[in-house]
Amino acid sequence: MTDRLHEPPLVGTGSIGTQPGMEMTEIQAGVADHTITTYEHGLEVRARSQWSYARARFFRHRLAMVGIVLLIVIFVAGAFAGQIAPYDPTLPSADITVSPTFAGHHFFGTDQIGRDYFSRTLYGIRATEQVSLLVAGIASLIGILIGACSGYFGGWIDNLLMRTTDLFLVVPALAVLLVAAKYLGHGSPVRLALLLGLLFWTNIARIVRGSFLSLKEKEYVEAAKASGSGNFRIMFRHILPNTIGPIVVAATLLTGLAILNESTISFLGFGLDLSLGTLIADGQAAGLNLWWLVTMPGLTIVLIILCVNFIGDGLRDALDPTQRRIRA
Amino acid sequence: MPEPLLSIRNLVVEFATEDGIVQAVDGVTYDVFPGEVLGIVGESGSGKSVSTMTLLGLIPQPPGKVVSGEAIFDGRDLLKLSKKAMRDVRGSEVAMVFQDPMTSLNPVLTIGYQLGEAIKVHHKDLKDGQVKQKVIDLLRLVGVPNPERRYEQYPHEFSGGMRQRAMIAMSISNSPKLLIADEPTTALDVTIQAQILEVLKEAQAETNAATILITHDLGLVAELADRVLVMYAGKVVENGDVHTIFSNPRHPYTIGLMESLPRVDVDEEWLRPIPGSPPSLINRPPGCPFHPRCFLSQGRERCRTDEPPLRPIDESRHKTACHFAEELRDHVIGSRREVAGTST
Repeated sequence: MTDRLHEPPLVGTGSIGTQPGMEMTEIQAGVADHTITTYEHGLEVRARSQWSYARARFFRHRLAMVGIVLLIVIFVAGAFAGQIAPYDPTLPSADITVSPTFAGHHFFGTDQIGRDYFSRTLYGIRATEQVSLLVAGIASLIGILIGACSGYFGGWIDNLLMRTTDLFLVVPALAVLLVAAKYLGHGSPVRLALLLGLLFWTNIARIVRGSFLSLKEKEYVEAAKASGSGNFRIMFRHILPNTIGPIVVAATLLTGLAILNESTISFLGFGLDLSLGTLIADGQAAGLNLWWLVTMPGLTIVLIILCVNFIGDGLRDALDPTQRRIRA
Repeated sequence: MPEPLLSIRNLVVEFATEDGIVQAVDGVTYDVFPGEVLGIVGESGSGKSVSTMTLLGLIPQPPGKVVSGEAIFDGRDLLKLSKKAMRDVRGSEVAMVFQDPMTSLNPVLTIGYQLGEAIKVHHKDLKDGQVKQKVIDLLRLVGVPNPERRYEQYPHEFSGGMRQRAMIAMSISNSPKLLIADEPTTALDVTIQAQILEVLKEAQAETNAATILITHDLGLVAELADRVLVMYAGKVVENGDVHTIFSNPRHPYTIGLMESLPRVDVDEEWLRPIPGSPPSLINRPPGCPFHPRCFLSQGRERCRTDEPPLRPIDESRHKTACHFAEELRDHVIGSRREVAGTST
């Protein structure tokens, strides 16, 4: 390894006074001269950190790179829907049921009352993206807190928290969501995101707990304890950064799951007023003749989910330290 | 005689395992005086580490359990401290150097951060700049070259020797009164061991901390320790000044340990281990725990039935737990050479 190069040269004492009756002063003196010598770095090989390897692996993962570029384009377009959209998404116009065209400014066509579907899709992306990112954030937060406490403290705390997690896992998510969305979340992205986040933290909690279980036995945790660090400092400053990899992967994939669920709820009419799911529902009501009303927002969802999953895949491969070679 | 800084009395620590209760530490008593280096030697599993980890509350409970005993440190019983009080002691009054520097540093945090944290935990009023300066000074003290740059680096950019230096810097960062070094050189190769030894000495001289040096390297003890404690099967079997122990051991186990070392002044073909292996700590044999392996016992009744207490011999500071220690008065290390040699 390259590390060895930093060491001062060997000191000429084979064994350190292993003889009981031996004179020790000589050895002491011999060692003393050398140890304090400081060495400038003559020969140096740049040590690469785990992160720089991961970054390199991620950037070489072709699908993930395609995914991240596309997703950024889509999300930026959604975020700036107000600026980019050529038409007001809610304003009817005289151009009714125009099919998708690149000539007539209605890229995704219009519906029966002449609303521009490209603009509507952009606004739909905006709502969907708000919800999904919020869900990923909320779920990660809850999952990390619960998983960390569970894994670190163990014992009855672990039992209580993990049985609670099991409870959330066996709950039929869709039914609960529909009921709750009807009374609590209708029309508000933030409240819908809260609902989804409160249901989808379980996976992250389990991942974090597992990591904490193994990491809390590490010697550096004991060393931190021995230097007087408190539990919360150890949990969040020492252990948590070591678990970031799996958390990021899980959170990324959760974003995709959140988009799907939000769309489902909106499609069923319990969610937002204008999101990709709502658009598909509207289009479905319009019938097969206006095929683009279902297809355009539907393809958008498919594209987003594909991108998210590719990114998740790429992250998983990149953050797996046992893997040095890249496939893709 | 000065007041001891730490006095451990009759410490008993047990671990519950599937096979039964393991008595890892069984009635250990010793003192550590200010500024001295106490070497604790013994085989693996003799309770060296457990007896000191207990002081900082670092044994996992359960399965571990402190059954009885007290550890008076600076007027307080460490075993009875609240969690909060224990946290204040850890790292500031009693600090530890761990065995394996490869795993004792957190891979995702910089060396500077980790050392700085050890200081900040106990000195919340210090400004970040002051802490950084102190960390850099500490790194320089332990002989880490180019400390300003090293401060920003991660553990994987440090070699084993450098990491152990950083660990030592961390342990002395709050000028502890007691330093516990748990096999500080075991994980390093021999040439680095010599350097680390020197750093430890310097660190000890700098802070004048009393040091407990846990090791199975008798050479290290001879180099560094003022007094020696020999442990076997969870008990202290001999205890005395380093010179007395090395020149005049009064316990057959200590003698066995020393004779098992290879010598450079005699031409030999074989190592001479102590025959047998340490007893199971689950079902302790009655009598002296060492009697099945003892060359002195030779099947004597008393060794098999009576457990020998730790008693003073020759002088008050030299204690041994052997019924027949007097017979060892004229024992010359290595005199059993021929006997041992033929038996292998």
